[in-house]
Order: sequence, then structure tokens, then C-alpha cells
Amino acid sequence: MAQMLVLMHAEKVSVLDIVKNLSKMPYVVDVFPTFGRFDVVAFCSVEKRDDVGALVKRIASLQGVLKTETLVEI
Amino acid sequence: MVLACIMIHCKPGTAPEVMETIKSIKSVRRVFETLGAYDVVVEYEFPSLEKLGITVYEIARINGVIATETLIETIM
Repeated sequence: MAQMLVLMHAEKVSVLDIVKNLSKMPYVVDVFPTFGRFDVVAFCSVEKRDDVGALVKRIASLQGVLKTETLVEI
Repeated sequence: MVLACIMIHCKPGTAPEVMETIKSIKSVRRVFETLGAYDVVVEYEFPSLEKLGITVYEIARINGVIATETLIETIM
């Protein structure tokens, strides 16, 4: 198992939809909108490190997600 | 309860001890060492902004911690 944190910049009007979509996505364990430099934060737990890239691509492709920054557990 | 994501910069080589110290703090849901822009990431559940402030200050004073950034859950 590997944990990771995906930080997102998002279009303000899309934040609630992004949170809703992410909460249904596999491997996403906690997601919430935030004050501060980022708009949405998602804590994820992937089985294999190879899944990290695919999950980040999937998150980044959501409608309204502008930019992502990922912190992967070592 | 509200969630916060606390991201921490540490002096090189101190992240494991910082993480161990944080694990002992009550209401910490998740803490792990990371690659990337930050060294340690914490998911913290808090009843009040005052309690969050006290905890972030406590974390900031741990030996090895250089800086922290906190993202607080918004209730939309």
C-alpha cells in the first residue's frame, strides 16, 4: 500500500462536483474542499506504486480541475 | 468535526522523528513522509480553530520542523 496526497487548483464553480466525483472514486479515502492555496485536497491509498500515475491522470481529467500537485509516501 | 491538511518542511534527515512525534498527537487521522514539495503530510481532525492553532503551533515547535502550511476544510 502507498498513501498519497493530491492537491488541486479548481474552477470555483466546479469544486462541489469535483469533491462528489472524487468521493466515489476507488483509492480515494478522504476528500474535502479547502481554504488556502489549494481548492480541493484528496488523500488516496493505492495498492501498487504503478497505480499512482493512472490515478493522478484520472483525477486531473475531472471537469473543472485546473492543476494538481501530488505528494507520494516514501 | 472539521478536517485540516498540514504540510511540513523538515530539516534533511529529520522527517522520520518528526512523523513519530506527530503520531502521538490526538485526533491525527493520517501522517506520512512524502516525496515532492513537502516532507511530511498530516490529516488532522479538529473541533475548533483554537484547537487547530494550538496543534499547528505544537507541530511547528517539533525539533526538525522548518515550516508548515495548513489547508482547512471549507464547509460549502
